[in-house]
Amino acid sequence: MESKINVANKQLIKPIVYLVDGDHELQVSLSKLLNQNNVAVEMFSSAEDLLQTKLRTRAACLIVEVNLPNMDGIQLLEHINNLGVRLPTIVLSSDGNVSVAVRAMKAKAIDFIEKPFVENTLVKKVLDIIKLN
Amino acid sequence: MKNNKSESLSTSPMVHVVDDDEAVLDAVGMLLDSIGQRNTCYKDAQVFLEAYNSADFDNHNGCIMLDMRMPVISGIECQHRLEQMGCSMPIIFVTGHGDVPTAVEAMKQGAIEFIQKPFREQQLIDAIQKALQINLKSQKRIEKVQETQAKLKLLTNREVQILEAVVSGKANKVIAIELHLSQRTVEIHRAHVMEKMGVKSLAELVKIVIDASPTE
Repeated sequence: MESKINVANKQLIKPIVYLVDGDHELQVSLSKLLNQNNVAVEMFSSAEDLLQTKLRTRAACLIVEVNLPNMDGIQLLEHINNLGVRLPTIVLSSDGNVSVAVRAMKAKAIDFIEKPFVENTLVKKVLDIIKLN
Repeated sequence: MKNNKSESLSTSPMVHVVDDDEAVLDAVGMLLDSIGQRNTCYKDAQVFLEAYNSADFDNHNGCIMLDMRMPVISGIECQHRLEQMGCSMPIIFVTGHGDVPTAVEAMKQGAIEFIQKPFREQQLIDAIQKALQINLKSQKRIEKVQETQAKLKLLTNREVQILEAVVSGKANKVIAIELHLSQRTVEIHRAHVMEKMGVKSLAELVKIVIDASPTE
């Protein structure tokens, strides 16, 4: 039987995934899937929200939708790059076209996924990234 | 194969244009000629890869513009093969049939640009200039590494031993004990190493050795 302290410790060393996407349904289902895989998820619905938080060292990965109010997902990624932070990033897009995909990849995204997608594929990608870290 | 080699210096960078559409080849060739950019056109990836593997091909100085959809060998396949052959020239993809997965795949493989047809001439020129800049930088880095490697070859076995020990941070005294030498001998070897490597400080020595050692 695990004691409360152990559970708390486990919570602390869990890798964190930042999810920036206004889609509430996606937030719920993705965080559920990732939690099952022992990954903590912090959710934001805009780029500005994420930038107001202090990025933590156990941050393993960023998942970001291109379509966000104000600053878009790729601008957010570029901004983070300019800060000198290297956070492996997967870019999601609901109305993806080639030029958006190329923009994302030039901003050093690890992958670009068009919506709708199979959630398990994304989860697998995230777990791969965490393993590599 | 149409050869658009102009009379400029043989050291100026070469843009390799690979497209199965003759009209595109002509247009791009003319565009590059008009800005005085050396270029060679190839009617498909097979022809290009054959040329790439020929003895007199300068496979470092320049960049490659690849069409995505070509008969027999596609642009992506060509990129794969070039990578396997250790090609260091940056690749620009140009395609009339771009889809997101292909674009993502090409960029993951290290393409520096993915342009969709029809494109503005300036767009291509910008991409090519960027590619050539990247190429120049990597060229310089490779040259430096080769220089260091050449210098390393001039060292005697003993000097290599000393170099490795020095770079790993060992003091002369420690090296002397480990190699059963006198401290004075180590000092002399160490001075020779510095001289042969053409560096004045330990920091410089460590830097060039690390830069030249294979990464990953």
